[in-house]
Amino acid sequence: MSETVNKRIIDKIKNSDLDDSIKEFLRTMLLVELRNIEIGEPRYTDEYEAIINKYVTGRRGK
Amino acid sequence: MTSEKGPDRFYINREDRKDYERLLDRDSPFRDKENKDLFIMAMAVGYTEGNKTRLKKREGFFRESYLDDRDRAIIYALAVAEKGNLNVLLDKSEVFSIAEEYAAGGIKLLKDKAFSGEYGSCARKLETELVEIFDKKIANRLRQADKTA
Amino acid sequence: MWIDYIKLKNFRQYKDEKITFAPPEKDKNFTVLQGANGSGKTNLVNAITWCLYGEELRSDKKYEGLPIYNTAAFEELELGEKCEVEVEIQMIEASGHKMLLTRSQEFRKLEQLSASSDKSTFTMMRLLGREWTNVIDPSYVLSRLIPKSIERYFFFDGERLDDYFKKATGEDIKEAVFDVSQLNLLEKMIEHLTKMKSKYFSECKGLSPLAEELRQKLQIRQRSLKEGMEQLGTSKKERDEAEEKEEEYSRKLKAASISDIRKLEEDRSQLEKDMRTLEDQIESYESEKLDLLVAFHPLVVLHEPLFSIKELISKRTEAGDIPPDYKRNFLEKLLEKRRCICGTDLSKEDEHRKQIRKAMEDCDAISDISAELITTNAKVSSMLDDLRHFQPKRIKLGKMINDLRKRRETKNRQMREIAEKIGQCDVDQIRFWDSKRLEWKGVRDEKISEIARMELKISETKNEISATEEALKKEMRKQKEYEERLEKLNFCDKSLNAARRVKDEIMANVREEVEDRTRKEFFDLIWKKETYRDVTIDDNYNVSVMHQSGRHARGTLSAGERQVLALAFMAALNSVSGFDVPIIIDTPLARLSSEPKKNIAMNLPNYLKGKQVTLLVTEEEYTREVRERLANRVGREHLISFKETGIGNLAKVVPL
Repeated sequence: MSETVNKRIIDKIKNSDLDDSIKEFLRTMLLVELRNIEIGEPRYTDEYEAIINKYVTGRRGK
Repeated sequence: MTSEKGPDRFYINREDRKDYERLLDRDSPFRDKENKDLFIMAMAVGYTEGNKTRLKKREGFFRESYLDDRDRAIIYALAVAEKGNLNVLLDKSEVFSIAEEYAAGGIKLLKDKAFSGEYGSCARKLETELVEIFDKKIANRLRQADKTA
Repeated sequence: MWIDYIKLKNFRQYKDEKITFAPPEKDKNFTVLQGANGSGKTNLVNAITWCLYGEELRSDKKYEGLPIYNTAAFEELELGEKCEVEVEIQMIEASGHKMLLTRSQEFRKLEQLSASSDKSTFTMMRLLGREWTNVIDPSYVLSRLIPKSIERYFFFDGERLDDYFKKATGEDIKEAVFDVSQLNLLEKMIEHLTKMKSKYFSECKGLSPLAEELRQKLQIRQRSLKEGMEQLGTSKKERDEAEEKEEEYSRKLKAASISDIRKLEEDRSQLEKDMRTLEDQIESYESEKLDLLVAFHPLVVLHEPLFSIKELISKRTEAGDIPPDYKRNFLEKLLEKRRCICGTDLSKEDEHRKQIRKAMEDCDAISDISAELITTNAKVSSMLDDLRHFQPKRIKLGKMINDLRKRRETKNRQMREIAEKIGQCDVDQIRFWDSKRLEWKGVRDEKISEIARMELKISETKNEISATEEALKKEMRKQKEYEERLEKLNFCDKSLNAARRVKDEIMANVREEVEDRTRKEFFDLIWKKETYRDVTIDDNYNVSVMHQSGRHARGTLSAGERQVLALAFMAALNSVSGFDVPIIIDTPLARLSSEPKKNIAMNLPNYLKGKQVTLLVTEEEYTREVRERLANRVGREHLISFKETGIGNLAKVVPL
């Protein structure tokens, strides 16, 4: 499926001076939000927890 | 013109941090200034009042590298005036210490100047103060300097 | 993305119809469907929204309360028989891929005009190669293509457009821009990250008594922030409403039967706008003056040390110490290396070594920092030179500020005079409107002050929250088992700051772009090109139209001109939106008299080039002249003909 978050947002993130891991995280979470936006009360906590864990414990493993 | 040796940052008293933060609040006349600008203003105020305060519990406030040449020249001038000779500039820790102690001595007064009186009066008072000093002490010196040049 | 065709089966007055649409080719991107009022134009839009979202999002009084199935078809059923309602839309994506969206719902006839039905089903298929493939989770995919929250910016009701724009406040416009550019995604992310932070902080129970205290403080402050933000939103809406009411009464006065009153009110409106400009200018110059004072403060206050260091360095320069013949540390290095630069061995305590040592001892300590002293001297000289400019700059700024203040006072006086004259008018109605205008102005001014106070309080609360969070983190750092949680918190903080930054930067860019496009489209569509000078959207998303004379004209635009502004704004929203959706405009010219209708039609061909635009028009809108003017841009044209039969209504779509 092609990217359907507004290209402007994706480009702004891509061209910023943020850490790569933060850029990746933002892109991932934007897609999570896209998916959840039309679903009544999204259960976001679990998804956020899982993804934050991945970035934090993943880094610790290095 | 960056110094090669000496400390890499300037310190303030831990208890003064909230005063500096207050000066950056939305209703402060100095809200869009940077830490170093406030520090230098506090230092200048401390020097005028002859208030030097030793730092008790110190914490870093801004990096030396944030200073521009102008800021550095002002800080050096102060240290030289304090010690009476140029040799003080050989010991950057001493230079920084002098700046920090005068800033610590002037921050409370700077905060008072910013917030006492009605909103907008800070600028007026600041202007009056600077014009008085300028007229009494600087105008003549500049004229003399022009003559000797 | 554009619509290839729509098939309607038993949907309201459409029993079995297929409507084809013109592709968005450069020159012929318009599709026109003409039909009388009540023939089915609005229900066509309803068919589209029903297909996409399962809901008819436009109201049609004629059909309100009636079931969606075609009554004529239903009538023909036997008891127990089913009638299927289906709307199928074939769309073509920018990539050329075809997509088929279908919603259907079955109705079983129970008795006369009574039916049972299951929920409607929605399917989406994509043509990949030669095969149609079912799309899994079609609602989700659709929500990524045309979210329901923004469909109204693409399928818009021409008649409602004028109302929308008349009433739209800065906050409304901002919300539209936000939704369409998907900044709401970033907002949601920020909201959720903030909640995750709260969650991590709340997991610090039992850390320490201090931590517990801080945790509770944090919760209280966060609640306070939330309430503050809600109250701020309400106050802003109230401010906008008060402004609108004030405008309303001002408009009444501008349209009063007494010409003197009309002139006075026009003048007063203009004076108020001039005052706002003057206030901004005064604030700007005052800020500049304060910057000047802050910049000169250390120079003036520390002039003695500055003069002093300059003198000291000059003296040493005259004495030949600066620049030095040798630097002391250079000589030190020679002794350390035990070799001179000429190659002489300095390892033994001989005459050579003694000479170097003597030279080193004679060297002034400041030789090592001579370069720095030279630079410092140059800088100090330059600053002392700058001091000469202090007074002239200060005085010049002061004069400018005073002049502006005088002008402001003059305008104030003029406004008071006008207020008096209007107040003395012997027509009750005029005095009543004026008093109401003043009343709403008072409310607005009060709200503005309230908003400023609230914003300050919110800023303070945010600072307090930051400080409390930092203190809590400090407590967490003391205990190893909280290390991981602390890392997650820090990660959330970094991501939050990043998201906020991205959002702010995009908002600024998007606002500018919407402004540019609105301006361009407005001037492309408007026929009185020399009458208006500019269209702007300020930081608060207030849309202004400026007359050539410099006056603000949005409040005095005619219905046609307002329609143009609304159409221009919609086109602008389109250009910044993250969505490639075709445009459908239902009755764009309905409320207009013939002149503006002709005029807009004349320039409509310039509108939204490259996009598929569908116009649903009445005969009154689609006059011969309008038709002629649009002819070059129309790729497909249909007539919706309508028949009322004994058993129900039927609409037929016939290509023209």
